[in-house]
Amino acid sequence: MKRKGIAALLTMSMVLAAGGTGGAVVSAAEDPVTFKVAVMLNPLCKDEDFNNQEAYKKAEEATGVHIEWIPISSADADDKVNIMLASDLPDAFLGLIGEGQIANNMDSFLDLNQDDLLKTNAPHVVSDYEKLSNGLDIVTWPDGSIRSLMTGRQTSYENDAEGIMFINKEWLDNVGMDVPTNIDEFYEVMKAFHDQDANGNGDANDEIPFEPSQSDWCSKIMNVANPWGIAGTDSSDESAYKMVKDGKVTGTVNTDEFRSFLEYAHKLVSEGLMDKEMFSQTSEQYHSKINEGVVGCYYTWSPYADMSESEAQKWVEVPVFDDGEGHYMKTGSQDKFSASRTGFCITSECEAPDRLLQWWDYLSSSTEMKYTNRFGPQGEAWDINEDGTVVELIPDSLTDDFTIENYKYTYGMTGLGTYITKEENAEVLEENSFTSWYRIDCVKQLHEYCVPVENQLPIRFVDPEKTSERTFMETELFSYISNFIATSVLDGIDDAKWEEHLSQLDAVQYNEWLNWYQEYLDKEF
Amino acid sequence: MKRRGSDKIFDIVNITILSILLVIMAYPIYFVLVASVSDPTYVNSGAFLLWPKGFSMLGYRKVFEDTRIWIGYFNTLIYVIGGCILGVMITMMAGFALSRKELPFRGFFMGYFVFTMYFGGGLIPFYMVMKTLHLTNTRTLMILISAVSVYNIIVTRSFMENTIPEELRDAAKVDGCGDGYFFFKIVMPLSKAIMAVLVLFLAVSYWNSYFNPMIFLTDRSKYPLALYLREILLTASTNASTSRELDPAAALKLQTMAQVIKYGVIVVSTLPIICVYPFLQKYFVKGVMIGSVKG
Repeated sequence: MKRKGIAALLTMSMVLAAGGTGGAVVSAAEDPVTFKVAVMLNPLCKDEDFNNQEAYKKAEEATGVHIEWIPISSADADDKVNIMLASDLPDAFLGLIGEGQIANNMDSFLDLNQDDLLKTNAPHVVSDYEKLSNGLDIVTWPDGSIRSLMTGRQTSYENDAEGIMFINKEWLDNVGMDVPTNIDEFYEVMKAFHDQDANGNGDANDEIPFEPSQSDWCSKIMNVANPWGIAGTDSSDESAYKMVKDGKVTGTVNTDEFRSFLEYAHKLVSEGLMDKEMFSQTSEQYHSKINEGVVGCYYTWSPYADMSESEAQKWVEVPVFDDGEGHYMKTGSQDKFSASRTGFCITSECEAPDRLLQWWDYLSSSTEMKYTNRFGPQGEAWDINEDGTVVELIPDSLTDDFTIENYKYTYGMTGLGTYITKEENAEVLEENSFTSWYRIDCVKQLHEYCVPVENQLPIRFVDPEKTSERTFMETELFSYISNFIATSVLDGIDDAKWEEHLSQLDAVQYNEWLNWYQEYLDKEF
Repeated sequence: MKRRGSDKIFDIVNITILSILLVIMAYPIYFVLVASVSDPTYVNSGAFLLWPKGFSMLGYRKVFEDTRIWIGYFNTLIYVIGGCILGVMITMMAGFALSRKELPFRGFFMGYFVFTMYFGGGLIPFYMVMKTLHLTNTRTLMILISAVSVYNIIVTRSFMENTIPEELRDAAKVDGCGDGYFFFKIVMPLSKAIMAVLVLFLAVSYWNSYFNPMIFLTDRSKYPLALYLREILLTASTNASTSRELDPAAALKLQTMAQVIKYGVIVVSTLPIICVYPFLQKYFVKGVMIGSVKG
């Protein structure tokens, strides 16, 4: 107990010294100690020795903690981590562990809640977590233990809106129409794209007016249901199978709105306005269609991510787009929590967890330190304005083969850096990074239509048994629903098929599945 | 000799069927070669059949710009050469011993070896044994790990049973030749065919092996070529949806190149083996066939 008290005292003094100057040099407080940390090696990283990173140099100087890194490439992570968990634990894992792995190997991970280990040794981390609406509960397991610490950003505005619908302005001009604002106008525009030579290449038959794709992460079919008020909290189809309204988890795939959406989608497919290969094509086929100039409208992160700058400029965002009755909802969630809750896990093999926690706390001790950990040295990829806001910059050392992404993963840890709160989020300026700025600007148009915070499910760990209860139901349920959507969109739907669908939903435990989420929402487990 | 009409028909049918088979087998290899020097956009849409479209060495440039590939080549050579020498020695000795009828407990040893073909301890116990032996993360293990294959021992044993008669050993013994001298001076030179087969089997398996190195090596400077290539390949196909923090624009750029890089990687990794094959081929056919027919 005495030793811990001293440790805490030293930490406090160290922290006080570091806090004011933002990661200034503090002499090593205790004897040097070495930990083995297995870390996810991002493919974009060009320097495999993480100790060359400024943040870790400073942290070693200040806390006397030396890290022996075991880089594991993302490709091998699954196999290697499972071997490590079974027989060869390092002192900690950074960015390699998922919720399921903790649930299945609880005892391999140290409980940071015992003896107030976390509160004593990592005051900055605790105070950051306490700013959240549910505080430390966010990383606490149902048995009261804390087995991991968070990495990454609390929120990332640009991610909130998931895939956005873009339409080719040049095609609109060629057929003399405006950006559609509701489903009827959309139909008319697609029809014009289809019937006329919208891309102006002399062939009136090669146009694919509307191109969603199941093989792309953000272009899935449930995006098309947005005008009928059906929207998921993320871009997967499954997240749109349920929605939270006024504290109630309600089904979406048994509603009349859902049926209207299916009928509308079938109309588009049967008239050749929507690509019927959308359910079967590969990601490569999808992207080559986009790049061949035969597509008039699709969902994407940003056209600048798909094609050359001159081509991308021809596309405009389709802002709000409803069924004529004001139902519009956008796939995505406002202020979506985007940090990884299992980013940094100390294992039960670690002999001096207090020292390792102090090291992590040092990296979390100030906004400067966090961003040094995230993006590398101050003044290169980021800086702090006089008013205290962080701004992203473009470093000078970039080349064609060493892009800004390589930079961020080589000089910093990006998503594996210490937890950054919403208030500390960096600003992106148009003149520094046009494409990122453009994406944010597009998100702004739609952000208020994304699922609001009060209609999102809270984030917390649940009893692994409960989770497997749900995943067991999901296997059959999800494959049934996605099959039903595909056949209805391609072959159409009538009353008999709809009735059969409703009774089939009961058979595949749709209501039980919704009920699971209701209980989760009501904190019954 | 005058050939009859039915012979001609047989020839025509034979040649036609074999030509079709040749095309079916050779075309995929040819396609990989062509795709590896084509423009990524065309590769993704599959817009060519016979000739490269939009000639580009991008795939190779991406593969070789990674300097780690040379470390990988170096390590692979060590593992292949070390593994072949050790593997051939052990397999030959075991095969020879098991082919001699006077070996005590011959049936038991054979059964003991064969047992391991059907039953194993599983990956994690295996890992723990290697860790206890302090062999994890060593080059030694990479050479040892697949040196002995029971299948190879059986092939060798059958070969020796057929080609090295017991009488040879008796004759040698009369002239004062011991077991060691007999094995190295008489058996080995008579078994060149089977040795060539073993070298090929072992070289290919060491060359392609990525799973064991992936599991047992943590020091990346000991990685073999296959593991680096696998990494380059998977880097390229990193999907935007799996990495939340990666700018999808960067992910997509990688993804477009993924196909081309994939074909480049196939060529880089298989070309050396394909080059060695013709030199061993004449032994190869002979060796395997002899082993397969038990007299």
